[in-house]
Amino acid sequence: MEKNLNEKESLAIIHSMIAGTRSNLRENSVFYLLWGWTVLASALAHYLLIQLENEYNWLVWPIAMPLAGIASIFIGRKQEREAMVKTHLDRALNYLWGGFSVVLFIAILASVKYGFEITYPILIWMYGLGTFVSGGILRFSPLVWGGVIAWMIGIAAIFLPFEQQLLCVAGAILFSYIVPGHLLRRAPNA
Amino acid sequence: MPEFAELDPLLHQSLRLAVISVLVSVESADFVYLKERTGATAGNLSVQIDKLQEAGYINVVKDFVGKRPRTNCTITPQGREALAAYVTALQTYISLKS
Repeated sequence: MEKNLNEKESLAIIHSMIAGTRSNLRENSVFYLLWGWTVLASALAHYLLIQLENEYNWLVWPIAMPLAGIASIFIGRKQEREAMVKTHLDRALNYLWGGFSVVLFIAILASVKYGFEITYPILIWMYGLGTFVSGGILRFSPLVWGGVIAWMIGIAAIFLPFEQQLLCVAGAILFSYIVPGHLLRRAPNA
Repeated sequence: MPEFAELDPLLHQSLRLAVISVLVSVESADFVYLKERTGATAGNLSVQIDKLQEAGYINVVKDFVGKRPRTNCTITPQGREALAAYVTALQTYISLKS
């Protein structure tokens, strides 16, 4: 038999169901850690190879980035398949990082024509933008602060020579992806 | 004299109201998630989901994750409007009583 609801009970049901929606924060951490550690390792390897005067020093990027991209797509699809719920936050984040990837690609394409002097600073600003907005969406302040730190490092990078910009990339990714990524892994759901 | 707005009988039932309220706050949710959130039994939830689907308030897609069957539910624009109308009707009841 169906229970007859009064208006207060009805409102209480609606409120408790809407208020109880949680996004699985920890699931997002895997992407920050995957990209964070890949970019950190690539930037340091590139820097080291320049010091060793290896002429193929730049080759680390076209090798490492597609591998991380394939891993990301694989993990993302698996998470989407297995997810019991998809929230509006998930949708917002998908659009943000999808757009981020497109702009990143355009920036690299433009660098092929205009030179790579400003490429790394632009990438650092973008890392900052991505984590700043994600932090806002997820209400997770280490990501917001990581984004701000990346922007500050990105400003410094404008005035530094190419080699040292690589160290800026490593520093920016450490503070905007890796540290928040590890903190996110231990965070409760939001 | 103000009139009583009619409460949608389809939503004026605790489990169906809970299901539609969960679905209005997410993009999509599967059966297991809805069962956990509402605390309903699988049998009862299944019946109420069918009723909401028949009314056009939710979309139900059945597929497989590996070998496990999955029932994925999303709210339709019609379901969204019905919940909004239900809440408006509730508000008239409350304002008439107070």
